Amino acid sequence: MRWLQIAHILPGRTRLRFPALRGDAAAGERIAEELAALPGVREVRVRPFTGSILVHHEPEVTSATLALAAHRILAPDRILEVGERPPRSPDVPELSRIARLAAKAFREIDRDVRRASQGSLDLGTLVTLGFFGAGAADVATSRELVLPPWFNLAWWGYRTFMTNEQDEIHSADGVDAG
Amino acid sequence: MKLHFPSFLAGVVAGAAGAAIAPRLRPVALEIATTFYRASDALMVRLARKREDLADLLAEAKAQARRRLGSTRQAAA
Repeated sequence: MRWLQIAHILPGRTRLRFPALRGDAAAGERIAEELAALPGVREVRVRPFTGSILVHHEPEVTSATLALAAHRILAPDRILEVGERPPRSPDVPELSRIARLAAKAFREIDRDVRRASQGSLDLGTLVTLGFFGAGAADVATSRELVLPPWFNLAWWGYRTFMTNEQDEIHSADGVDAG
Repeated sequence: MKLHFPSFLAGVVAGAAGAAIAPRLRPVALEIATTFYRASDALMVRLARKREDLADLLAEAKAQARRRLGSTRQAAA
């Protein structure tokens, strides 16, 4: 949605804001010309980077006159008053683009691994074996069984419980809710 | 210098795996970089708008100060 906001009003000075102005230099020039041609307007400063249109004018010129003139050129879907919050898009994507692309990439890598191993391995198995192998190699070369720090142990303990006891936790949730 | 074999092995495996999966992860890296640029751009716009809001506040303060000065003068006269 394209909206035009009356951002700030003072007698003789009005700031309008039209975020869609960004990347539309031609519209910026047109609006500057249109507003400057209004009787009582002394100076118009357009800043496309922020979508700001700062107008210095005679005190008799109202913000409504300026907003209507801007509306003719910019054709916004809505005009917002001072302090009114801009409308938010109701569309909330289910998943972020990065998450979607990452999931796709890992699916493709998984397919590559299965293809290369002729079905013997998939990505999950390969990573699991990799971790087990690295751990075993470490123990074999250092000849020590070093314990991880306490916070790792605490986290793994929690995750192991939550993963292995999923069914119990869900059924307990149902009992509590009932 | 002593060679730590597991670290060496992990480095070799990480390098080989990285080279193998790099093309697959390129779109993800591209999207992350794009998101970073968009976020920094949005931050710059937000900062610029806040600067404009500050300019509005200062202009309002100036107008108010002038108005008060004018009314004080009128009262004195």
